[in-house]
Amino acid sequence: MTGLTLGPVGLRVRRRAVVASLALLLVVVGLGALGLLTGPLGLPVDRVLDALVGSGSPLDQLVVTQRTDRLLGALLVGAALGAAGALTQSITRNPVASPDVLGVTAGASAFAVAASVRPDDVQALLGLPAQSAAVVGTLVGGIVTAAVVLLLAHRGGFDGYRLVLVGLAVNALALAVVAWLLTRAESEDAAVATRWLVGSLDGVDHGLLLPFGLLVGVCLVTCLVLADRLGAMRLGPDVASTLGATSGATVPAALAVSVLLAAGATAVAGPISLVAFAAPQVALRLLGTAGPTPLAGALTGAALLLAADTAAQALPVALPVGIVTSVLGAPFLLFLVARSLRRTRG
Amino acid sequence: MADHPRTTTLHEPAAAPTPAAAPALRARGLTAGYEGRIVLEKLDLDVEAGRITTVLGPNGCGKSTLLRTLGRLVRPREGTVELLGRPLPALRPRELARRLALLPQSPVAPEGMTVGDLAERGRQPHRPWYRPWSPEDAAIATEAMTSTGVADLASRPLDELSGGQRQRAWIAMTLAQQPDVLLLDEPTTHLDLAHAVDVLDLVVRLRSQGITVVTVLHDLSLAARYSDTVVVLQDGRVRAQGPPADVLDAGLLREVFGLDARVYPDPVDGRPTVVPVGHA
Repeated sequence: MTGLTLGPVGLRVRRRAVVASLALLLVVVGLGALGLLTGPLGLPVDRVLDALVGSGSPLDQLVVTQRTDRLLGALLVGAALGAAGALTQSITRNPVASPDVLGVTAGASAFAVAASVRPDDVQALLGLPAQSAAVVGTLVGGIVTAAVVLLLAHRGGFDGYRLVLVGLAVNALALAVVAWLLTRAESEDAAVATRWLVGSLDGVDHGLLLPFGLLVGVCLVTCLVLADRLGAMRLGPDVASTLGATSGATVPAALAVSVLLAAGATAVAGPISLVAFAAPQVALRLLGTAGPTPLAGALTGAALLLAADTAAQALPVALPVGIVTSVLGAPFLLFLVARSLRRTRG
Repeated sequence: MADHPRTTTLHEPAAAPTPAAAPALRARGLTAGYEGRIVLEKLDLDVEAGRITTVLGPNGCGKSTLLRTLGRLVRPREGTVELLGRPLPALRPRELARRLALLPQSPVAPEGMTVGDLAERGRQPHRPWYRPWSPEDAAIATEAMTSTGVADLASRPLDELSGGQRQRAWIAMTLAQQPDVLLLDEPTTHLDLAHAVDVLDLVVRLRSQGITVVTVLHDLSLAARYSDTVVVLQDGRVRAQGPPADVLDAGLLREVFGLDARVYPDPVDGRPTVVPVGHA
């Protein structure tokens, strides 16, 4: 009977998602352990473990704290970007519409640099301490950039190509602003400049990890609540509506969560490119989910960014992780664009 | 209204008509349209329960808009629509989705979505987000795929299927909603005749399960063969409504479609079949 043969089929579909998720977790654990136990200063394993439980020498503790910060940074930023990309890809039904391709992370970066170049003005304007200028800058920048892109791209709906072209232009503009501001500021700290231009996990700010972790947690729970409505929206607004999932609050909520995640990730590691775009698309192919789902995107994003950062550090010349993700992500982007062009023509 | 008994083996017998039953859908004084353009004007329509009703009319006469207004995808500017005696605005979105399903014209699924995923999605109106997927949901989704003949394709991605299979997979999603009323907007567009007939045979089977079906079709002869009632729209109003044999004649085709055509009883069960001669 068909009903009986279907059970195993249905199970197999889910088994694939479970197996792929476990494989990704294994990658995360493996690369995480590698990152903690090895590194530039070559601490022996027992001293790393001692430091982890808090009984090592102050110097060891310092080294290990840096390694855990980098690891946590990679996982949280990757998860945030992966979920953020899945959200925008779901509501626009466009595989290329992610906060990094659309310029939201670059815009957040530009505002952050502008704010940190003039911390005193930020303090005077908002009454906030100068140290938080960059963080506030990324959040404001993310929201402003998203609003600008949506406003410029909106013509009685969102045409896929128009949205992406506007996003690419805003992205280029924002990165040019970052470069110009950094040149004007004559920043002597190359690491800082690199972070705001291409994104890097070097010297992740320890103090940002806890608030960012909380933000990611809250946002992922929101994604869980939105999951069904997003699933219906991936079938188009008409079908979503006939399934009783009227899009009214779903689109603004998903957009807000996506922008918060992307801006937060930029505050921690700068505008790392193409992870938000690639992670959900890799996830749906790996896990066999029906479209880009935020939680699968988060898991895949965490694994991808950690893998990219591990590779970046293992290279003869250590590169910022943003370069590696660009180099790996660009061919994938070209592949998807080429295929979607073929599809539209065929 | 006279019932048309069928003698072909293709079709199961029509559901027994319940003459005094309230209409499944009742529209009164319906005026609807899009920005600056009125498409339907003061339209009245009763859709009989448990029957196949097909909306016909020339391009741009408001067929899709009527269907979308009946399914609340378009809010009327004036007038009311009642579903099984309850006005549409009184129904919450999920409540409406449990009673009425609408399949828009040429829907597109996301990449990687399988037939099974699509059928399961139809359970959404019955399942709040916090309630886990139940064996009952699975059984209903499976049944929907079985009755549309796509159960064997459950694990196949939609983009690998033929047009006819894909359309039946989408109908499986609407069936998993367990609706009383099913609205199908041009379900046979882009399908060759054999696949179109597949879909329409399925519609006949749905009627025998007690589902009220309203479709939009372009092919007049197919509409005549498969519908209990045809509704002919002209300029946003109902021009004629009734059994195909009573409604479709050369005079109406000339006036509504601007078509010079002969109408003959078909050799199978004597329903009207339209032979176009030329532009009137």
